[in-house]
Amino acid sequence: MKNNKKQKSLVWKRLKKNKLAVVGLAILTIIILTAIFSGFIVDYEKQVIKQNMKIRLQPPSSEHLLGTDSYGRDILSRVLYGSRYSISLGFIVVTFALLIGGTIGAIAGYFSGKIDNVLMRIMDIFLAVPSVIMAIAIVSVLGTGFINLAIALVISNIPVYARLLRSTILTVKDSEFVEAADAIGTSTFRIITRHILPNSLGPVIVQATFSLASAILAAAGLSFLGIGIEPPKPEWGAMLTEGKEFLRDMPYLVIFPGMAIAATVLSLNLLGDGLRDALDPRLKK
Amino acid sequence: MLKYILKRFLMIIPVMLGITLLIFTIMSFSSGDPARIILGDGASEDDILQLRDELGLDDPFFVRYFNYMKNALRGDFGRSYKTNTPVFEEIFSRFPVTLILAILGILIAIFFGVPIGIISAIKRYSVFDNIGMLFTLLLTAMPGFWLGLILMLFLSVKLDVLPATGVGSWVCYIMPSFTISARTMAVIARMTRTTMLEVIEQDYIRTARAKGATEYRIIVKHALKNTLIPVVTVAGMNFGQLLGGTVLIEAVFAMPGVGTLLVNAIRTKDLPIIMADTMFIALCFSIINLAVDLLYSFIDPRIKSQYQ
Repeated sequence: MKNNKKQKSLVWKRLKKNKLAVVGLAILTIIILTAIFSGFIVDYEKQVIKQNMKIRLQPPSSEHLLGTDSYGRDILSRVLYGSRYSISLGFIVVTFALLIGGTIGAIAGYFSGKIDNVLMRIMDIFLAVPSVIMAIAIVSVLGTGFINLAIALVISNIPVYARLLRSTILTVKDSEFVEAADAIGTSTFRIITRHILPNSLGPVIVQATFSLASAILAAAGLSFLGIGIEPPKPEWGAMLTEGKEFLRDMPYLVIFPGMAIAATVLSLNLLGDGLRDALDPRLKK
Repeated sequence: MLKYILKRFLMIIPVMLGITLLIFTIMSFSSGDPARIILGDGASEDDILQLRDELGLDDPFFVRYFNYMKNALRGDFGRSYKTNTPVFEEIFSRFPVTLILAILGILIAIFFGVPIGIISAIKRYSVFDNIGMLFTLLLTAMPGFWLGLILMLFLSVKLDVLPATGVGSWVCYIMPSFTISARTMAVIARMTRTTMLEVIEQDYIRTARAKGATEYRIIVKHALKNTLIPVVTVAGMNFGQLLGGTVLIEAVFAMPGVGTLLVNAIRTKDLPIIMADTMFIALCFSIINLAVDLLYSFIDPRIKSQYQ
């Protein structure tokens, strides 16, 4: 336990030294706080959803800092509120994909043999379809909407975690501390959850950070195609689709939601790179 | 080597069977009666029952899957519910657009990504290196479809130098190809830089320098070849993803590829198209992965020797 705490503080120390990672963490913290408190910052009914055609397509002004959209809604309010969809979707996707994929990978890695072979061949099949196409195929059956989009993205991300957990567990399971736990009669479940998993977490945390970014990108992409979260909800990808129609006269409609996606993904990429270096300094270049 | 190629090729078959079964299963859960979709809401119940019988929709799941696969192996993927044209024709008439886009995307990514990575590594911590790495960092964060819209805004709407949509001439491919290549180019540049930094620290590079070889010769003849293997891996992995990514880029630039066909089919619940299109993209993805695997053996003699 003491060693675990020591290692955590060492990782945090290394992470703090990485300027880019700190910038990423700062941007991400601001975005997450915005997502949590956006309900208090903006009025969903009045500023995000309510249409006011008298003030449609206005350029940025002191009243509407990022202008208004084709229905007279404040773009800044919509971009701020949109962070809720992207961030919550990203976290839901990563959590469930990690739980399901991780369990599959842990079983495959720990038991090896036939179970491993069958599970991994199934994962190979999922991996043989590009993730966006897999998500599109699932959404085509489930239909659009937040939950269906989340399910589609979870399913397309499961194989990534199954493979990752399997490979990390394979490297840890022959360690002496696992043999010792086995020798004193510890149950398999306890060996996996209490001994193997905590020692395999490094690569998983890094992958989760990058997956969060790709889930946000994929969700925005599917909403952009009109098969994710649908308007009038202020999801960033869906806002881009609406704004595309007014690219010539009102580029703000496209520029700001896109910048929000890019900033979120950039912060996650920076943090992911930093975490990878902090967890395994040998990789640092 | 031939045995290895054959073995790798045969390994695609079970994966493809798995993919077809997976897609077929997913599509079986799709809401809506295909017979009603084809005949429209005004059709009588008798007509719907007759068409269901003709299409074999009431057969057990595995019978339907077996029949579908039997026909698919003969190149018959059914007919579009909406246009009644053979699915095979629909996909193949649109495939060249997607393929050209993906190939141009990967070529542009390699053409710009590798030199940026090499120069960044050679001139480590210089202004070029810092700007180059910042640029690639931003490219990896930008959604491709957004970058496409921004390029369209500047190059088509503001400057009017490139067409915004269509596939009428080769000029129409410039903007979409650059858009689709952006993320891969950034990944390749970063990968090349990292690997090149590792390679130029090696003993054989020091030996070449000690023997008086020119810097150009050291980089091109000695370092570059050894940098290429991880770069090919990244390029290969991304080429497959590019094929999936074309869906979004085709939508931005209104290009009639297999991606737009898929998205339109989803909107109209055209199941035969969705199924065949997804399987087709998965097959291309598997073949690309195989080609990348084989390419390693040509680049790295150590891998080649394992199979001789």
